[in-house]
Amino acid sequence: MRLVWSRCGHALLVLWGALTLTFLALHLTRGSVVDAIVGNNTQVTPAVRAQIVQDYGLGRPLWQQYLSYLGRLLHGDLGTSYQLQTPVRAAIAEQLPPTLQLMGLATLLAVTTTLVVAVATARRPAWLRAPFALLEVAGVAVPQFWLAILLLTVFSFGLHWFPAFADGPAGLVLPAVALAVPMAGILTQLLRDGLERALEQPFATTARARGQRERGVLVRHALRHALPPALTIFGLLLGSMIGGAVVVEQVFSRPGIGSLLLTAVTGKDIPVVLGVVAVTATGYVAINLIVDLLYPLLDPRLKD
Amino acid sequence: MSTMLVVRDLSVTFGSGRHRVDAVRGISLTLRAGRCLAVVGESGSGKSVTARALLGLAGDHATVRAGALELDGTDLTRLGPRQWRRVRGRLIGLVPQAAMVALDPLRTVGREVAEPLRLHRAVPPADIGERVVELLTDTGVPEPRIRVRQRPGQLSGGQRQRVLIASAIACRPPLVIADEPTTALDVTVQAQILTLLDDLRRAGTAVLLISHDLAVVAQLADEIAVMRDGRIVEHGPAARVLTAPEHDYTRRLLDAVPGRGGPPAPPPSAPVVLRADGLVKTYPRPGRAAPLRAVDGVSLRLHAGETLGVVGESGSGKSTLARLVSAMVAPDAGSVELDGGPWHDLSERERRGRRTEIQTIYQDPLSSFDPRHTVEVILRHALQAGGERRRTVTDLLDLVGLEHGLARRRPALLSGGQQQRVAIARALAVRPRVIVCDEPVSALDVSVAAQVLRLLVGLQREHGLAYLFISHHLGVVREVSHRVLVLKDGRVVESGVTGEVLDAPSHPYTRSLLKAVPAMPPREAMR
Repeated sequence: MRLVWSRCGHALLVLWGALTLTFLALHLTRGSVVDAIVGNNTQVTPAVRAQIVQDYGLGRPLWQQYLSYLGRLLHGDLGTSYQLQTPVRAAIAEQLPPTLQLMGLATLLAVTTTLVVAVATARRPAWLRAPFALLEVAGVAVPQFWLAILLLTVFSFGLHWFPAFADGPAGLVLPAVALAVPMAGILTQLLRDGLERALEQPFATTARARGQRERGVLVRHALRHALPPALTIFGLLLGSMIGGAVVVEQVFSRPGIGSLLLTAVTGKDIPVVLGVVAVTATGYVAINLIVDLLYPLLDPRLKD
Repeated sequence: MSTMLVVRDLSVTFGSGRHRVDAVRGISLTLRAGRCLAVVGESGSGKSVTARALLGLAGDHATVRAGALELDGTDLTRLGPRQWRRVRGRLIGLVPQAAMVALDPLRTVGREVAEPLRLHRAVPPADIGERVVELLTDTGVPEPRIRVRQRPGQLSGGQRQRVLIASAIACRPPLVIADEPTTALDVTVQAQILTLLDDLRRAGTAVLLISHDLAVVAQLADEIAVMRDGRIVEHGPAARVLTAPEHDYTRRLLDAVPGRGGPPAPPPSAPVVLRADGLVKTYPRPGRAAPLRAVDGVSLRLHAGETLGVVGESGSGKSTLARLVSAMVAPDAGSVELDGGPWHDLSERERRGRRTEIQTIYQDPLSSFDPRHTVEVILRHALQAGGERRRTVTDLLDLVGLEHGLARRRPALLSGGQQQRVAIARALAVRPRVIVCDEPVSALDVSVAAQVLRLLVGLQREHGLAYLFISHHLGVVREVSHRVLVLKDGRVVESGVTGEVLDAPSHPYTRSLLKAVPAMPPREAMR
């Protein structure tokens, strides 16, 4: 239980650091803060600018601004986008569901593929392993936008298996695959490596000598030893998936956080950029907190 | 009694062409129910490969051929993978070596012992829990109902070996293969495990014992087969092989068993080089109020040219004592003097200049070398550290009896004995007065261990070195030590001249240690 609290405290600390950095990013840039917030929108009246100074408390000392910034975050107020003419929170809330669907399906695909391929190819003859190993390296090495275009060309325009641009579940498949491939590539290599190392351990020999089948040694003994390192990397990859979502959403012309972020960055819509950063940082910290709390379940020795 | 195992002309090869290694070259064995056959040999003799081949687990790269391989009348050479699985664990139980790592550290003891029962459906699923407790009780695991829910990491080495035996005999196999079942265990625990295997044999199980330790084998075996380079060089009743060996190699192995000669003659009186008084070292124990008193009021004197043996079981404080006298850790109380000057209370900066006076050699020399350095670099660094101008790397190699050509190799490519010689050379490079030897031969084959011990004794005579010699092996300690210190729970329970302490012990603990040592006939009686 103490472990849980200390992990949670640690996660909050990281989150606080990330949010402080976004505050500093806005306030320590050159030029006026108001200009940064307004961005490329040139049709902002002096009245609106005065409103911004009022809202952000820009006349006050920096530490007061900082505290009120944290206070607004606590209430879920991420500011207003003067380009979209909406609160940032509403903009993100609107774009979050399609991205979560995409990342959810991609994660599911990646994890399933990893488990199946790693268990099926660990310590198997080269003719079975080599093709998969090649695909894994290719999956990691190929640029994601190119992979996305390739999938579109082959499975949508060529074979007509999946629609190219559609809102329904069928339209989710190809982008999810494009997003899942690099993750599956890295995780499969990692997991198989761990499995093979565990299969060399003396306890694996003991299990075989009891009459356990190779598959049984793999699933009942080796898997639990191989999972923790893969889980660590899984947490990190999941956090960085938002970068992949930017590319994939763009290629498949899907709505989502990625598209929102891209538009905001190109249009210098700083409130939206900072809002997306705050939301993804929170997600990232939450995911890694869950991963940390999963370890002791996999390896009970960590509890002692 | 029925014949349980027949092996005729078994050979195992690894690889092919130029990389082909013949690990086992045509051996034949028979073993009857209720008997114990010991296969004895040193590392690389092929004994463990034989054991694995009998389980059909020689490995993916091995080719196994046999004129006959019969278990209780069943021809094992004709078995497919599925049939082999029905043999393993049900008809043949394996007690593996390395008890510390042979159990899955992430699974509970109960599930490990239950695995063969589940796989072979030996008992109805509902009764498995009861049967596991019964097996642990039979093998002498204390508090079995608590243990089944614990993980191997929470058990001592001896308890883990008992758990392994429980899992090996769970389905009551008629043949048990015990591959070095007592390696890395204390003498007292070793004696208990051997008794357990002996009970199995008496109950009618055929036991195939694989070991490098003739003293262990002497306790249990009805017959002994001595293996060397994949062949059996001598085979016969245990009593005959141990007392009247016919083959030269067997004789050499027997000669190498330490502790069967008398202790060394006392050295001429010399000044004290290492002196410790009332040393105490405690470590906090998580979850418990009282700290662990690892070393508790130990005093000792070590004279130049003398060896002081330190014996005791795991956890008796031997290694902590070694770290205290070499000032790797600071004592909570007490003092250490080196060469008549202060030692433990110096600042690390002051101490560094005198570190050359006391050196340590470890049980596992390999992990004390930088794996990327060659022997030459390792020794040159040591010579530079000692400010040596006259002696060279070749001088050091000559000193420890290593060929000059080995200087260009990396330590990982050397044999265990050669690695330990390099470690000794490195210690000698700085011209120390005292060498702390922490289990220096415990990981070596008997004949190699004997050579390393001879080297240490020779160097002591030549250079007047003082050894603090730590070992759990009483035979080794007897062979080299002038005086002995017996440690139990961090305290000295007995000390004195080797012959007196080990031949006429006054403390019950020393007596129990000695009683547990596998007895071998004394050397003189053999000729």
